[in-house]
Amino acid sequence: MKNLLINSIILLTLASFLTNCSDSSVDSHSDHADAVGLRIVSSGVTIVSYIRDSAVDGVIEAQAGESSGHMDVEFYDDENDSWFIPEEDHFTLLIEIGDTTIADYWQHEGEEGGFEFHILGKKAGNTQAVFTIIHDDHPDFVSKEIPLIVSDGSSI
Amino acid sequence: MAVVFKKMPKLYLLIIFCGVLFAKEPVKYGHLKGNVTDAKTGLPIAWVDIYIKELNRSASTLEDGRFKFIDIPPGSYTIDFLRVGYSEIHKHVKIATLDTSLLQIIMAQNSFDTEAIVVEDHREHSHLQKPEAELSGKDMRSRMATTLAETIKDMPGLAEQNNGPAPARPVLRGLSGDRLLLLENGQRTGDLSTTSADHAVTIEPITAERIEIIRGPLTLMYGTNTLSGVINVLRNSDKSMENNQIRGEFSGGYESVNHGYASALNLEIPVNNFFFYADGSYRSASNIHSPGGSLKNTNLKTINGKTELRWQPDWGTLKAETAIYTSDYGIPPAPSELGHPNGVDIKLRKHTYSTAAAIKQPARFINDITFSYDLTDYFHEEFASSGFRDAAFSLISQHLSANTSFSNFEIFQNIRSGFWSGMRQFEAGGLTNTVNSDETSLAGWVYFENDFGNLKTSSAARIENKTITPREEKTDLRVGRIRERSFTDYAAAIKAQYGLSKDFFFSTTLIRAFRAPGIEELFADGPHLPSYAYEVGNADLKPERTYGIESGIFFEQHDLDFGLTAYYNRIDGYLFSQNTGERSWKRNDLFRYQMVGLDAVIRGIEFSGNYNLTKRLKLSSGLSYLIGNLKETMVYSDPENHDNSDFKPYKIKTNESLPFMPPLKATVDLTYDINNLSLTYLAHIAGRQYKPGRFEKSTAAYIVHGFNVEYFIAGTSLLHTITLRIENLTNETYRRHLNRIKEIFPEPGRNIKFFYKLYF
Repeated sequence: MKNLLINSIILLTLASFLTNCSDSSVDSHSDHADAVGLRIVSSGVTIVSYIRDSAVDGVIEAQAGESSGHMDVEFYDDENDSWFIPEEDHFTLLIEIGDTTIADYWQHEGEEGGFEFHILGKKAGNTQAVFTIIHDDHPDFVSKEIPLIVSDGSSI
Repeated sequence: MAVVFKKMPKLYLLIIFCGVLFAKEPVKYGHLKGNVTDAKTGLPIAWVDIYIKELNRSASTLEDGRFKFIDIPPGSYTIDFLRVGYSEIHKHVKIATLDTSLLQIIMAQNSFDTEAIVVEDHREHSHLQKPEAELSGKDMRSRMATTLAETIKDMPGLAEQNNGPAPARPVLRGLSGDRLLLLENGQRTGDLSTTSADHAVTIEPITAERIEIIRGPLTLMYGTNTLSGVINVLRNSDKSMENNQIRGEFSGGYESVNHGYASALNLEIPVNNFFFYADGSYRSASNIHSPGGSLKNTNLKTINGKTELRWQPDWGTLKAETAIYTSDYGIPPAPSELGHPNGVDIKLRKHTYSTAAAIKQPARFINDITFSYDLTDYFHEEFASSGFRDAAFSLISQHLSANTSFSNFEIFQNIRSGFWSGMRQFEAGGLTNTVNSDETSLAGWVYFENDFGNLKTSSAARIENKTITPREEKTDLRVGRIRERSFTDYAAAIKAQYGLSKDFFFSTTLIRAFRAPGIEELFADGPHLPSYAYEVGNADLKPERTYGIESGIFFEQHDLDFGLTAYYNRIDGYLFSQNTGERSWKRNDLFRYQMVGLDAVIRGIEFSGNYNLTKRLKLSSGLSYLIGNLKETMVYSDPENHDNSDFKPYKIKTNESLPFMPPLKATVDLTYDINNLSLTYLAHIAGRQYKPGRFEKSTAAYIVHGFNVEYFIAGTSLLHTITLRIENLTNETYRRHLNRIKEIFPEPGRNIKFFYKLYF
C-alpha cells in the first residue's frame, strides 16, 4: 500500500508538470481587421462616411432601373488613424441590402467579395445597406446601417 | 512573476518539512455526541443503550434522544445502539483530537422487518461556525438537477442565473459572479464561470455529498470578496476509515424535459492507515422543452471524475488528489438579431491536481496545521454554428495555503489563522482582444470566537494583495491604458449572537468586504457572442468596497423552527458590465457592454421555517425579497443628437435598479411521511419583477406546483433510495427574471424526474 501511495504521488506530480506543457492553444489575437469606421468613395469623392459614434454622413444614391457608378469601400483604423482596404487574401466584403426589392448590389466578374461594388436600383424607395468585413469565415467588422435611396428615374 | 511561480512548490515543501520537524504527539481527547430518533415517527427515543466496544464505555439516551461521550482518545471505534423493540445499529466512527463528532441515528422498529439506517455523521461545528444553510441527504436527492445552481435554487436567498441549461450560476442575495465564492471541498474551482454568463460552473452536483452555504466572519477564511457568502460543495469530505470496510454509492437519474440522464459511482477503500477514494459521473441531455416547444442548441454532455489517496498516520494526514471535468454544451440562439442566430457550442475541460498535509499538535499551543496546494488547468473554446472558433480561454491557476488552528487562549476560542496565495495565468484568443495577463494574490487571515455566556461572538479579518500584470502594455481608446494594476486592502467581519432564551436568539453581523477587479474586468475587449455582447473592460477600475449589516431572530424547537433576517449592503464602486445601449464601433450587430464601478445598495429580507403540524405532517416554507439600486449611473450618448463622436460619458445620480435582481420568491413544501415513504407537495411562487434594470423587461408573477415522492429500502448493508419528482405539474408557461434568454424561451414545461441512489 505504501508503494501504491508513493507511485500515485509520483504520477500526480508528473501529471502536474504535463499540465503545464498542455497543448491547448488559444491562438491569441491573430491579425483581425481593426476597423471602427467606414467610408464609400465614388469617382474620388467620399459620398458616405462615419467614424466610431459619429452619425452616418451621406447616403448611397441610385436610380430605379439603372446601375450606379463604381464605388469603393474603405475602413478606418483608429490605432493608426488611417483609412485602409483589407487585403483580399484573407478578407472579403459582404453587403446586405435591407430591402432587395428596392435595390441590390453587383460586382464585376472576378471581383466578387472585393471591396468595390455597384448598386442596381430596382424601384423608388428608401432602404439601407450593411457592410461587413469577413475575415476567413467570421465577421471582424459590421457597419452601421448606411441609408440607400433609389429615385424614380423620371424625377431626376 | 515567473520567479514567484517557480518558488511556490518549493516554499510549500519547505513549510511541510518544517511542520513535520515540529510534530509532536501528545494525546488530546475528542468527544462524541448526537441523538437518536424513530424512523417511523421522527420522534426522539429515550433509554437507548449505547456501547463503545473498544473502550468498554456505555451511556443511554436522555428523554429527548440525546447522548454524549466526552474525553475519548482519538481513533476508530465501533458503537452499538440497542433498545428493545428496535433493530440494533452498529456504527463505526472516527474520533479526532479536540473535535466533537456528531451522530444522528435513526432506528427502525423490529416490526418493519428492516435494519435501521444511519443517516449521517459529520464533524460538529461550533454554533457560530454552523453553515447558514445546508443541503444533504433526502433534500439533496429530491432536488438533484443538471447543475449546481439548479439544485440549490430553491433554498432561501438563492436564485439561479442562466443562459441556457448548462451555464447556470447561483445567485445569493442578488449577488453572483466574483462576489459569491464557489468552492469544492474548500478549494476554488479554477474555472472562468465568474467572468461571463455563458461560462459553466465546473462542479457536478451528482457527485456532491453535501452543499453548505457559509456567511459572516467565517467566509473571510476563503476570500475578501465573499459579501453574499460562500457555497462549499463537499464531495468526499472527512470520510472515516471504518474497519477497513469498502463503501460506496451509485446514483442514476433521468428527466423527461430534456431526455437527460446521469449516473455516478463512488468508492471508498480504506486499508489500514490508507484511504483510496474514486468517483466518476456521466451526464447527457438533449434540447430542453417548454410549453412553447423545443429550444435548440441546449444539449449538454459532461464527464467528471476524481481520485484521492490519503495516508492517515497518528500524527496527521497526507493526501493527493486528481480530478477531471469535461463538458460540451450549447448556448441557445441570441434573443434578437444579435450575433449568433443559431447558437454557440462550448467545449471545456479542466484538470485539477492537489495535495494536502495536516499535522496534529505540532506545538503545545497549536491544535493542527494544514498545508495545501492545488493546480488547475482550465481551457474552453466557443464555436459559432459555422464551426468557426469565436473565442478560446485558457486559465492555469495555482493556490497554496497554510491554515492553523490554535488552542483556546484566555477569552479567545476556536482561534484560526491562515496564509493563502494564488496565481492565475490567463490567455484569450479568437475574436477577443483581451490582453493575456498574469494575476498573483497574497492573503493572510485570522478568525476567533468569544463566549460571554448568552452573548457569543465570532470575528475575522483578512488582508489581501492582488496584482494583475498584462503581458503587453498599450493604450486602447475603449479600454484605457493597459498596465500593471495592484490592489491591497482588508476585509473584516464580526458576528454577535445573543441568546434571549434556550431556543430563541438574536444575531447581528457587520462586514466590510473588498473586491479587486479581475483580468477581464480590466482588459476585456471584443465580441462575446454567447453573452450577446461586445465587452469592453476598464483599465482604470478601482476596487469595490462593501459595508454590510445583517440582523436576524431565530427560534429552534423540535416541532418548530424559524429564522427571519434583514440585511443592508452598501457597495461603493459596484463592478459590473453595463449595457450602454450603444452599438459596438467594430460590431454594429452587438451592443457594447462597458465595465463600470458605480455605487449601489442592496437590501432585503429572508424567512425560513419548519413546523411539524402532526407527527407525520411537516410544513416548510421560505421567503426572500430584495431590492438592488444603483445610486449613480453612466450616460453614454445624447439621445437628442445622432452624432456622438465628441460625447464623453459621464455619471449622474440615479435610483435605477441593478440588472438581474431576483424578484420576491416564496416556497411552500408540505411533507407527509408514512414509514419508508415520504410524499411532498411543492409550491414555488415568484412575484412580478416590477423594477427591472436598464434595458431589461419586467417579468410576470407565477406559481408552479410540484410533487415529490421518496421511498427507501434499508437492508443490513444496503440502502436503496428512489425519488420521483414532478416539476411544473400544470405545465405552466412562465419566465424567470434571471434567465438571460427569457424573451425567446419560457422555463421548462412539465418535467418528470426519477433518481435512484444506492448506498453500500
